[in-house]
Amino acid sequence: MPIRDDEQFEKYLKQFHPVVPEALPMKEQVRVRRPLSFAAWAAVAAVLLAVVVSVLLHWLPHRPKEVRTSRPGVEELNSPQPLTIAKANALLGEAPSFKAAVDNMAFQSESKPISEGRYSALALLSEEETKQ
Amino acid sequence: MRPTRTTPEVEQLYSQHGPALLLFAAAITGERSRAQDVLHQVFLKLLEDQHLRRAADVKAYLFACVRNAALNDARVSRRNVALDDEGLAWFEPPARDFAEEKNLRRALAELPDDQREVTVLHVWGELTFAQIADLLTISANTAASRYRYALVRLRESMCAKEGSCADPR
Repeated sequence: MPIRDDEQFEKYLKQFHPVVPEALPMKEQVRVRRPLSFAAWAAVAAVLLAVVVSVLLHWLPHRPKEVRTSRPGVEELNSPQPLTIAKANALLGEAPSFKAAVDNMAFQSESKPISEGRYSALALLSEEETKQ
Repeated sequence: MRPTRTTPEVEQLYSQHGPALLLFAAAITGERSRAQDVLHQVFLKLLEDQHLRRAADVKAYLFACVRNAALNDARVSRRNVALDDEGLAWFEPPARDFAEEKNLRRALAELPDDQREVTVLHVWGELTFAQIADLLTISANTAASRYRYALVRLRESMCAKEGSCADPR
């Protein structure tokens, strides 16, 4: 006799029990996956970083740092190098007067020795007799 | 380090609701083996997260998790349950009548997805229509209506054959 009543049919359906699922494979996975927390990993990373930095500091050659303690002096500026704004400032700062500073800058180039067999134009002109 | 404190709790929930959850996942995926994978995936995730503790209705929450996981399964794109007659059984039938078990599976597979979900949730998941409504984001009346339609279709499908669908009284 087929079931006509909803309630009876529902009872009939409930006689079918859903199958039991396979066991949960959690014991191995959970404990293997979480042996170290984030904090532990961070600590390991920090230690490794410290070791690497200390090794690098120990083995890399030390290069003495060139420290400029004062402004360049006049002697330094007299070297045969092009005149820069920094040198000009230094000369102006250290010269007793403005004129002296300008003279110093102007005659810097003359401090260069002229090589053998060459003559300066001024020297040649001074030796030449002037026409009357 | 967070302890594996939820393990006994989750194991208890698995043994208590596992069969109905497996059936629900099978009703969505169409295959028991895939449903089993989905169920394991959900419970292993629960072991890692703390979400379970925040759920007000743990049972409904579990069904929601299984539903989401089953629907997110990349292989379930078509949503039509193609029932394999040779597939693994979904039920332990009364009096080990496996022909009737297959009959029930076929009848469930023929239901529309929404009616099948409501039927499994109400009959074997033992969720109220209010809980089902929350889970499926529908009204309780809609859930009840879907259930009534599903029962009619199931009864027609299962009791069509002579000698099947015997009155349990």
